[in-house]
Amino acid sequence: MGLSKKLMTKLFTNLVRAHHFDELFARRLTRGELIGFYHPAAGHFAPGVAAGSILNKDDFMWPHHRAHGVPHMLSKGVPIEEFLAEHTGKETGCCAGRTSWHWSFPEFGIYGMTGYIGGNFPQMVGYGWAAQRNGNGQVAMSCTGDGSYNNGRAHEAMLMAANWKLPIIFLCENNGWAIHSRIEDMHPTEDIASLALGYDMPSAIVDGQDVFACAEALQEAVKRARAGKGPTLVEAKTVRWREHDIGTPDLDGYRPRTKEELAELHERDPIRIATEQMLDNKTLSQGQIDKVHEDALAECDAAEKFADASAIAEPTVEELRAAVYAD
Amino acid sequence: MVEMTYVDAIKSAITEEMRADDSVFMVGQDIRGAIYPHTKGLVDEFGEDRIVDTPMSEFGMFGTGFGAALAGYRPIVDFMFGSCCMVAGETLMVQLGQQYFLHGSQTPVPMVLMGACGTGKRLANDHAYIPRGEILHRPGLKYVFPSTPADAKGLMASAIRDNNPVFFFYHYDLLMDRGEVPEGQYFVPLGQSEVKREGSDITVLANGLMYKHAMQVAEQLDGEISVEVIDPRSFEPFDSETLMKSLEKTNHLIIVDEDHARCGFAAEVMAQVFEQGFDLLDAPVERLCIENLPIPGGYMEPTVVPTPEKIEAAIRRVVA
Amino acid sequence: MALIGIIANPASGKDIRRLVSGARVVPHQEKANIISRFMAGLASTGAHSLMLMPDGSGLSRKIQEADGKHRIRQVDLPSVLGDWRDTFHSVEAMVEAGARAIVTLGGDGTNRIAAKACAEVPLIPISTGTNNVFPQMIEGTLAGLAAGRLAELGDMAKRVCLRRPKFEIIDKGGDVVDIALVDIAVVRSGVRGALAVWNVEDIYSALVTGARADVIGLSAIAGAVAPQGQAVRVMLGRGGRIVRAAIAPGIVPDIPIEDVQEIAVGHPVPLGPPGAMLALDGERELRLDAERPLFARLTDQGPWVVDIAAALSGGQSQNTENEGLTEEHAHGT
Repeated sequence: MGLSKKLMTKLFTNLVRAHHFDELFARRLTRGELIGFYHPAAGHFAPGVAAGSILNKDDFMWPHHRAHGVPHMLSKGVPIEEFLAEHTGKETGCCAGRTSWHWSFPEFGIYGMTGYIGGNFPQMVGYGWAAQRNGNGQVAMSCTGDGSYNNGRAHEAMLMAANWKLPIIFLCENNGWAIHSRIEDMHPTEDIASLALGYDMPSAIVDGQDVFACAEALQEAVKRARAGKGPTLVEAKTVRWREHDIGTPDLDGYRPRTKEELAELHERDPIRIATEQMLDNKTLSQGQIDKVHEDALAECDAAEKFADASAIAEPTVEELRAAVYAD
Repeated sequence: MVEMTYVDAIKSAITEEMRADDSVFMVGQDIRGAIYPHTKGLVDEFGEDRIVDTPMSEFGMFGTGFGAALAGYRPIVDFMFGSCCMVAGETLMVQLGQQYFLHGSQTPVPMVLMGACGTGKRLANDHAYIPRGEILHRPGLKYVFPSTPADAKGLMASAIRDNNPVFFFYHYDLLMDRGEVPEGQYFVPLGQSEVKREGSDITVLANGLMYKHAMQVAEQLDGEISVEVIDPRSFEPFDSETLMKSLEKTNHLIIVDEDHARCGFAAEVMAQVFEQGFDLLDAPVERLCIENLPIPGGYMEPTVVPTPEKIEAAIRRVVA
Repeated sequence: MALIGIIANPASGKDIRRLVSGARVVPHQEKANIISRFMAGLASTGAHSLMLMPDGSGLSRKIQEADGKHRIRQVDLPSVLGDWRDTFHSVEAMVEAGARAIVTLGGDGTNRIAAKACAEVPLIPISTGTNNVFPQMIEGTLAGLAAGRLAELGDMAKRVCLRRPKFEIIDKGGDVVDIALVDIAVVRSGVRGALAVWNVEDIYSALVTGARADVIGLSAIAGAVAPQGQAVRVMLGRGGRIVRAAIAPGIVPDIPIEDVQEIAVGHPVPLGPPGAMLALDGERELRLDAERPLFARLTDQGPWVVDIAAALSGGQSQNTENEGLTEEHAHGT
């Protein structure tokens, strides 16, 4: 319903790119070629690809912390090499190398972030207000996980958004885990989406492993927002088949997650699910699909070359002092 | 020049700036109904789109401002009571100040955060304390506090025009104070202290209600001790040059701060004076601050806050 | 003391149709309430043994904790996958364990899966889904009483049941590839996507087991052009007349009808065009391929469903099982 061949191809391509970039970041972190930390996608990237792919350049977006927002951002057109440069402390990094991992791509409606879970929600209200005031059909897409809806700010933001009918899409990418905590133990209802009822907001639940399903659902939510009908909560049920962040043990509470459980999660592979459908609906041939992978790997290569060739950001204390305030 | 109250001066600045720039708007609780007089009538002139009443959600009103500022608007977030800004927690105390710097100095946050505060009404800690020390400790946040109607207008106008987050807190007790205010647009730059009373024996650094007390004491001591009163007006950025110039003349200093002593503005100024002007001092610096305990209400309030009597006693001690 | 199975689909009533139409919202709590009322109704007929489909929500666990009267256990699934397989394998397990009836909370989609596995065990379908042509809007307590009656009737339970029709989707060799209880829509769509069908412009044709002017969905399209209850195929497209029908909650568009054909039991109807997708009971499922042509074959040997009125009133249903029975037999235990 409403996915053109062009959009399906875009979604598929971005899905493949997201996968290869996730592997790139994970590999570099493991080799000590990345500063700080990395929270791998590991099965959790289709909702972000769908979100980024369907938005316009001037729509606001807060990418998800998982995979450091790479699936979301590369799908929205952001130059990921600048994000990789940031992760390697380079001058060419999107934050001039000052953060190791924050995103900031204002011309794409992405205005920076905080590491604190739930810290996106207040700004989302502001983006939604600005979009409504601008009156040109812009929307604001908030992408966070199940754990973030434990935070009070999520509730205040939903209240504000529903009250004022702000054009905000609350995308909850529910992979069932908040570090080592199961969502069943941390949330009183099965679905995060049921929160929407309390704020008189419509919601929908969608398969977060199927990028096309996510795109259809998000498109409808975006349509509502652009038409001035207010916010929507879309919950994408997804999985996370690696540890929360690389190097942290992969626990279920205080015992390791079992091989059986992980094997089951692997079955819901977004790339396999999307590839089958692209072949099945004859939009792409196997040869073309192989080319998509090749191109993505080449893109990853080029991003690495760019980051590695850039100079390390080493400003003086005076230069840093001068950067605290805007003129 | 025209005579007006402190609170009307605030309103005057807001009005002028909202007329000059469409992107300026106010957001907070019960602003349209003017729970405090500085917003009276604004909704009639500027409409509900720009004078925005919010639910009782500090994250909501602050978030509206934060996101809108990033998106190119110039919000004035009115917390009603200054201390209520703390309800917006981490988003205010951590994210706000770091936003511009961390993100490569690409995304300014032109935002004014305002609220009424101060002792004198005996309403106990949460309604009495002035958030100051903790905010000044956070890099990336500017902070002003007017003592007079003219400063109220000038600082508010500058705060709105500043492309950074600026806390504009003001004092309940001074709302109805009258003073001369320049007509039309008037700006008091941030980072500019003012010598409000010249003297030669001792410098008193004081602001807000404390400035009023200091001026009262200086009058009383006139002829006996020559007191120079400096009003910082702007706490971040803080103009220490004016203070050092004054110390070259007086060599004696007391700092009166309507905030808890420990790790507060007074302690910071003392440190700066030791760093920049130790040799200028003929006597140790004294600070008069609020006792390090939650501010009680009732009849106890004067016991824990600086009063004119305590200021006079301190002046006498330091010049002796 | 009979075994009754309960399938409460946690996913029903939560999908994209909440966004594209004013589809009903049935929150988690209401499903739990329906089941509580069901168990109360059932309890009034005696203590029984209940088997629940396990789910990730803790709904089944909450039910077990709350109830005191019945013996309740969960189906022992190797794992909860959170999709149709949970329903399918649970129903299989319930049938194998000798369930007298299986109550389902869901819509057409939920019941389609249950019907694949329920064999001869009657279903008591309570409507909590979006498209609810197959299940009934029946109050939970009454469903419980009806289940009690089925348990009472034992091997003669079919006296108060009706056999529903179904489509079998078959290939050229006659092998059954899938089923549909209510409708098959042939739609233009590249992907399964969010499963639902909501755009009239994307529908090539609709096949229904029974035209119904009194329901929402594709059956309503048929209901506007064919006699009530008649199985038909409706080809959509310009060139014919326009009718209006409620194809989804809150959505009553103009529908261009090109052709209407009766479908007879046992006669396979070819499905096309190649490249289109088949949506079965409201959910996109299979793609049509020129290399493997598929057909829809109507059969009246679908799942058994309790006839609530008969069950509760002590009467009997109009079905082939009851042909030739005397009144006495009908009221016996």
